[in-house]
Amino acid sequence: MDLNVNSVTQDQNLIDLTRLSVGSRARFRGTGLAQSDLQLLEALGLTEDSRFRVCQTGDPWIVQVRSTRIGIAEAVARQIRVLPEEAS
Amino acid sequence: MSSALSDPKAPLAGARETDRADQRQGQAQQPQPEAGRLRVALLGNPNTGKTTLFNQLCGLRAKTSNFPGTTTDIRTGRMKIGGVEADVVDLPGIYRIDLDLPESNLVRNVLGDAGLFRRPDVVVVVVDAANLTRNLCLVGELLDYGVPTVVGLNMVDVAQRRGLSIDTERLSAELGCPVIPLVARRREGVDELLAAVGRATTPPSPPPGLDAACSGDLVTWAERIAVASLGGEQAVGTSRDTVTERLDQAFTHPLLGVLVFSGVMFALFYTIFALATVPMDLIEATFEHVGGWLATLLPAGPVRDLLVDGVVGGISGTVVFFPQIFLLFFLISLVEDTGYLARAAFVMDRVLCRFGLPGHAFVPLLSSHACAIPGILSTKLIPDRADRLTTILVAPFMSCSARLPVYVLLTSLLFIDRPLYAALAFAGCYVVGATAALGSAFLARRTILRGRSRPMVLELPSYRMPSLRSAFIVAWEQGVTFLRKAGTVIMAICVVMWWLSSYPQAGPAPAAEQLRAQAATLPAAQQQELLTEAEHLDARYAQAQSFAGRIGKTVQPVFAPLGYDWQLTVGVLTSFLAREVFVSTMAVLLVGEEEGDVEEQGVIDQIRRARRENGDPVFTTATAASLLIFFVLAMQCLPTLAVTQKETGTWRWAALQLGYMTGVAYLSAFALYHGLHALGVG
Repeated sequence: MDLNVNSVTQDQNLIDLTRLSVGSRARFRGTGLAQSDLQLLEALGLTEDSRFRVCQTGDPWIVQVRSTRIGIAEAVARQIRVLPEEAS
Repeated sequence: MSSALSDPKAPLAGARETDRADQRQGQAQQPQPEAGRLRVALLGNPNTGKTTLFNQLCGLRAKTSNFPGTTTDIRTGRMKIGGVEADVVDLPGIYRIDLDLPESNLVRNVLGDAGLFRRPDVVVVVVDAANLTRNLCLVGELLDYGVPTVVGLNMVDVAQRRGLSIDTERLSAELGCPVIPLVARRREGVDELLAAVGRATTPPSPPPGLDAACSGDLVTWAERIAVASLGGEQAVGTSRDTVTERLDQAFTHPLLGVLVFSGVMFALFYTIFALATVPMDLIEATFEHVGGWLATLLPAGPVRDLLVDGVVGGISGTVVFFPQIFLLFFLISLVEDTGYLARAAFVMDRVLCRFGLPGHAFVPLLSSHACAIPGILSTKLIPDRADRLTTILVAPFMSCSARLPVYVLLTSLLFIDRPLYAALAFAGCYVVGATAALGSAFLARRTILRGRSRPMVLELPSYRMPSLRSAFIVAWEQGVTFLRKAGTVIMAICVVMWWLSSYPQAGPAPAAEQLRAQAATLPAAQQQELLTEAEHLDARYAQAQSFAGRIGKTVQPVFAPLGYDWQLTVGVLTSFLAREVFVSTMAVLLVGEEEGDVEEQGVIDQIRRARRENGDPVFTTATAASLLIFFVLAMQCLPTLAVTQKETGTWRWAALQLGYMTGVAYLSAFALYHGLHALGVG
């Protein structure tokens, strides 16, 4: 997977995961994390353009991708760029 | 995070591509079963019930050992499949084979028949039926390796409760390998699974057109098959589990989560403390009985002493840890099985990440308050190697139960008739130990284990009832593994330390002989007091003349800046066997009691009144405070060092632990001793 961090950062429609509220849906678009951390997110189901729902905000953030619930520390969540459903 | 993990330039993807290509081309060279013995590997995502299935297959016949050349545990067991002897290997739970993580590296090595590993003849992939898409990604990767494969579709009962109905025939046709529905906890489907394993001889074809190295392709492929097997896109399931969501809100809440976590940990450790003491006392009493029996059976002499005090004492000193280790792993396994531990890790991560430790480190650190040995063993919960090493390194700073008698003695000496101050000093020891652990972790992550703890991204599995049977098997294996791996080293250490403090045998002390001669001239009623005093003198003389005593006198100049005379130096040195030995050494050296009970006020008073050879008191306020801080911080437990060596795979970390902790203890004791003197506290 090759997520271009620069293009992800520059896309005006993208926001940080931490700006979403409980119940909102969005698509995963990329991260500023190290490659190994990104690989782990992908392995858990957060692949490019995958759709997820925010189950809980705060530390940890909890998102559901298909049937997988993923807990994400606030520090990591701040580096995840997403496209809110309304904007997609 | 270790540099190997964080290096984005590592040429892993290309290397894996080559691995897979080699596998496909080299199927003709597949290793054949050795002498008719089948090798079956269990593979699966974490939380799919893989270990439960393994326990159903192998039970207590399983054993835990290290993967060759690594410190990662591998569980293997033997069983018969269709009349053929089979070795079953429980591979680490992984999300993807091609991840740059130690567990994934191991799986790649096993599947690739690399070096010390023998490639399995059949791989059973355990798949969570309620989370089909993500689990099928792993199957997709595996199919590319060209190994005969059977899919165990586990937890079909959970999937059914969620309204998911899986067409296993369709799924099997899509994957090109058998798919067997399972409920591993109830052993449902296990016989059918074994029958399928017995028949699996042909590797399935790699999915046409699938690039398994590309996450996007893999997910698209897995989703297509999941949709086909579940009967439509709507059936794949993204439904809300409101019970899980509410529980998660409570368990990960900044305040409520901490309260729940504190309650769970209190219950866990209270259970260990309350229940483990019974079998521990029983073990000690049994070995005491065996020692006594041997003593009456054998003629007096060095062989009897070696067997009774050295060997039996050494075995007792090892086996006595078993109940604590068993109970700790039994309870942790139960808690982990419920799915709660993943939530608890987030709660503690908020605090521990500031010191470079992951949330997972909390259980090992807390366990170390009972004993650093089970604490270090429980670092297996920590997935990242650098995180785990840091935790192992600092865990012995936490005040273990072996330090308690020393704390009781020294705080009593420091604060005579002031129980409140003594209690505060006692509590302070725990605070100083924990602070040193966190501070040292902070330092380690900025120097030798440079990097931050692995960012907390975890799957939060569904809550479920834990399996008592599985927890029992895991705890039993961990206990037996401890006895096998560390027990032998610990026993050898016990024997050596016993020998050093018992030999050369000095015979009766000259002063004691004089007392006995004097006693012989007195009426029988008045003899007892002198004879008892003579025995005390003999014990002190024997300790002073022993190798440990002589070493103490030789090494004393090293400890003189901390205010210790040769007697305290011997106490410090013998406590490397186990810290609590300090108290009995002091009782022998200063009071002449063979069995010193520091809770007896008389013994404390006698120790307090004890004098050095120049007539000065052995314990001044500054000396007692210096000793107390030394015992809080020093690495004085050779069995713990043996376990560190076993768990890290090298003596390097054990040596660092010993050198660093003892260095910190020495400098702190030096500063405190001279600081108190500077303040006029002698």
